[in-house]
Amino acid sequence: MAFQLVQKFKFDKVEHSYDPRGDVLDISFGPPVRGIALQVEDWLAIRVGLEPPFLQGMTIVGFKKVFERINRYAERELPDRMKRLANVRIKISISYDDESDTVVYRWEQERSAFDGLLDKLSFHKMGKPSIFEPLLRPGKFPPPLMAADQSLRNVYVEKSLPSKDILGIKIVEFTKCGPSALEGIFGAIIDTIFEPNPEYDENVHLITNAVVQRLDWQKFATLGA
Amino acid sequence: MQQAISDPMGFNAILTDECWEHIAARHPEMGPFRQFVMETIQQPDGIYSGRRDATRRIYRKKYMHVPGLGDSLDLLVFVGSADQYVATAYFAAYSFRMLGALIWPSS
Repeated sequence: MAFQLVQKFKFDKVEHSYDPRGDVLDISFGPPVRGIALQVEDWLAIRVGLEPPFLQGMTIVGFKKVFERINRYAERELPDRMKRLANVRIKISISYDDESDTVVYRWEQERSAFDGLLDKLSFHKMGKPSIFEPLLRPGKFPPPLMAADQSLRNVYVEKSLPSKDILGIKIVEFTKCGPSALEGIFGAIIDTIFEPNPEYDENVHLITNAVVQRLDWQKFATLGA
Repeated sequence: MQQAISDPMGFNAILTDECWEHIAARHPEMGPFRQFVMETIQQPDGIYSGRRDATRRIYRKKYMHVPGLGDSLDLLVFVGSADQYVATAYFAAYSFRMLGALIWPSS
C-alpha cells in the first residue's frame, strides 16, 4: 500500500449567514477566512482555506430557489439544521494501492466513547466482511455525455455483509480516471437529490442516502422522492 | 454608494456598498478586488444562466495571476436577473461541472 490518510471532520464551529436579498447561504467552519472555491455546481461551491489548505465552508447561491423544490421550509429550518450539523463527526479514510492503482474511500460517523470501549472489548476486532459492487450495473450506464460519466464505470461501492450498508467507494485505474470519477460521483449524487433519474440505479441512490443522512438532510431526500 | 455596471449584452448589474460589505465579510479574500468584480461584469469571458435557477446570471473571467491568492483563477460573479443586484462573488480554482447555459458570447 502506498499510503493511507485518515481525516476527521468536525463541524462544531459551524457558522452560517443567509442573505435573503441575494438568496445566498454561506456556511463556514469557524469564522470566515481567505479562501478559494471549488465549484461543484453552478449554485454550489466548496471553500478551501489557504493557509494551510483545509475545508473552510461552502457557498450556496440561490439557496431558497434551489431547495424549495424539495423542501418548502428550507429557509425556516436552516437554524435547526445548522445546529444538527454542528454535532456531526465524520471520519474519512483514503487508501491508495500502487500495485492495483486503486483508491478506496471509507467513511464512518464517529461513535461515542462508550461505543469505542465496547469495540475494544469486542472479540470481533478483525474487519467486518464486505463486498464491492459496480456503482452502475452493466447495461444501465447513463448516456456518456462527459468523461466524468464514463469514469463511473471504474467506481465500485463497498457494502457491509450481511446488512449491505454503504461503507465506502473504490475507484480503479485511479491515475487515469480518478478526478473525473470523483466528478462523476458528485454529479450523480446531486442529480439523484434534485433530478431523480432511473438511469442511476440502486447503488447511486444508496450512496446519496448515505451522504444525505450524514448531513441530516434525510428529510430533503424523502420529500424529493 | 450604488454602481450600475453594464455588461456586453446591455444588462445593467447593480453593486451597492451594502452588497460589497456582505461579500467581503463572508469571503475576506475579496476585499481588495472590487474593481475585478466590476471588470468581470463589463468584460467577462462568459456569461451563463444558472442550471437550477435560470434567473441567475453568472459572469466568469479568468485571471492569470491574483495577488496573494494564486494563479489561473476564475472570478465568478452572481447577479439576479430580476433585481439586477450582485449577490456574491469569489475566485474559483476549479469547476467540476458547467456553470449553466452559456448566453454570451453566443455561438
